[in-house]
Amino acid sequence: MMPDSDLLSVQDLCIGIPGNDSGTVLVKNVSFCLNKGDILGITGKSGSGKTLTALALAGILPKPLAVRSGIVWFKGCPVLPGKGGENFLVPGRDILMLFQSPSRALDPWVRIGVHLTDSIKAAIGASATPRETPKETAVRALEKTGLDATAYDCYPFELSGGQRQRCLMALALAVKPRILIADEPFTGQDDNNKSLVLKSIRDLTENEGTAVIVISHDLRGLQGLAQNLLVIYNGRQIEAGPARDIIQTPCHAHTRELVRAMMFMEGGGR
Amino acid sequence: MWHFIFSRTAVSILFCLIIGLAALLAPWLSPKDPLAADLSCRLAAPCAQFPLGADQLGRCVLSRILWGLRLSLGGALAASGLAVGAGTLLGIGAALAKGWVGILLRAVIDMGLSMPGLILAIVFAGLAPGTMQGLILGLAAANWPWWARLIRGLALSAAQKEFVIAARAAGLKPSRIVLAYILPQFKNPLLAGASLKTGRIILAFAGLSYLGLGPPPPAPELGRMLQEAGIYMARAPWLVFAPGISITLVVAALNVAGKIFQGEFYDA
Repeated sequence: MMPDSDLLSVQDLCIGIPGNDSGTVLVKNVSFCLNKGDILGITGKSGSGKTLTALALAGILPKPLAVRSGIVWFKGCPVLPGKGGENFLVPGRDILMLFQSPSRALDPWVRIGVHLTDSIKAAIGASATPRETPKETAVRALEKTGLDATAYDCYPFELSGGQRQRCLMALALAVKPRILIADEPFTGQDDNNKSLVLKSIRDLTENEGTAVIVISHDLRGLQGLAQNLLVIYNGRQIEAGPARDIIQTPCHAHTRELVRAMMFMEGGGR
Repeated sequence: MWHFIFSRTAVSILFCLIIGLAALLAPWLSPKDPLAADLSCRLAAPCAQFPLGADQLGRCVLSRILWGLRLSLGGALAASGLAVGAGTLLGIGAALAKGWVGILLRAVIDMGLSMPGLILAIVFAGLAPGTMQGLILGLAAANWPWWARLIRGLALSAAQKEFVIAARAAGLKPSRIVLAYILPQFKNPLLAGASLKTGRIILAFAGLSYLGLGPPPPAPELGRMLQEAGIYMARAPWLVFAPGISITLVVAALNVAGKIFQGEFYDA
């Protein structure tokens, strides 16, 4: 069966521990499509399997876990994350994952500039010749996020948490992956940084055609950002479709609970 | 300021520096040729001409100790460097290599750890008996498993760090991740370990040349000087004290420096 999307199509993705058939499937039958420039929100309670799905696509599932079954199509070719074959998602260029905590995602011994240029080199290494040096790309990306060029020579500990988050967004802007996965990009951020994250994601989708998967347990953050929504509960996909429909008329009891919680918070907790 | 000057840190570092300089500048500092024998001054007590006395062949003990420090420190540093290098390579390989390569490397390290260091050192030193190179090789062979185990543990924990996973997810080459992202984290434990271990290696160096495995006789080696002085202990005790106390002081200074490094890095 050919996929009905031009970029990424995931069919019945199952993640579990190989060699053990009973009760060790952690994510079961997750399916979704992603077109160029799309923003997909994946939501659900913590521990529901949101991040595992993302790690599987990025090809960095932790050791005993592996993709058990399912088909992933990328640009019309079947690929399975984590399996080195002739078809696979090139890490960095095709798919880039931004981790939840900017302090833990940056090596304390490595300067910001080296983080950026290394990722840029890894991404362009596989494609055409660049128009500018990696350093120029990196500095331009840092400036786009409101940092100045001095951040290029800083170590992560010399920057504040918010500035580190900006560095991670700069990484995404500089690498310009086909697919960007942002894991909880709004958690623990002030409004200024949240709007910067939104701006950067829009910049990538509109100007570069990047498809973005935003993982968040917070429906409020996804509302208005993601066109489509995927709700995962206990490793099962319980709802998928346009974000507006799901939030207005949730079908599953768990989704209703999430929406009610969101309304409750928006009403100031009354 | 004064507080620092009289602190343990300053004293031990200063002492290490003095010893290092003495070894480095031995050709200029030593009053006499360490090999020049003058039988008329045989077993002379310390005096103006021989500040630390003269040995059984009338050679200047001070000069021999300065040159001996040079041999011991040079040899110990070379052995330490070899052990650290081999241990780091094998440790990283054992931690990060996939499949049977990793299993094989782990087995090799475990085998190295299971053998007593002294036996390993003697076997390897026996490959080139009576030479400096043999001794260095032997000491490196005895010490690399310790380093390999340390580095393997550090590399295993470093590989689990989120920034290493993030670097993998960004498509960086494994070699680049190891060199630029993982290796710099080993700097502090390596420094602390190296200063502690080098002290032990100097002791082992002296011990093995005491047994006759070091550079051959005319060479001024502290362990061999101690051994040769043994029979004259009653008539010329300074022949025993001079090399003995030198070895003790060098090892003590390195140990204190190592402990301080360790405290600096792990208490902070």
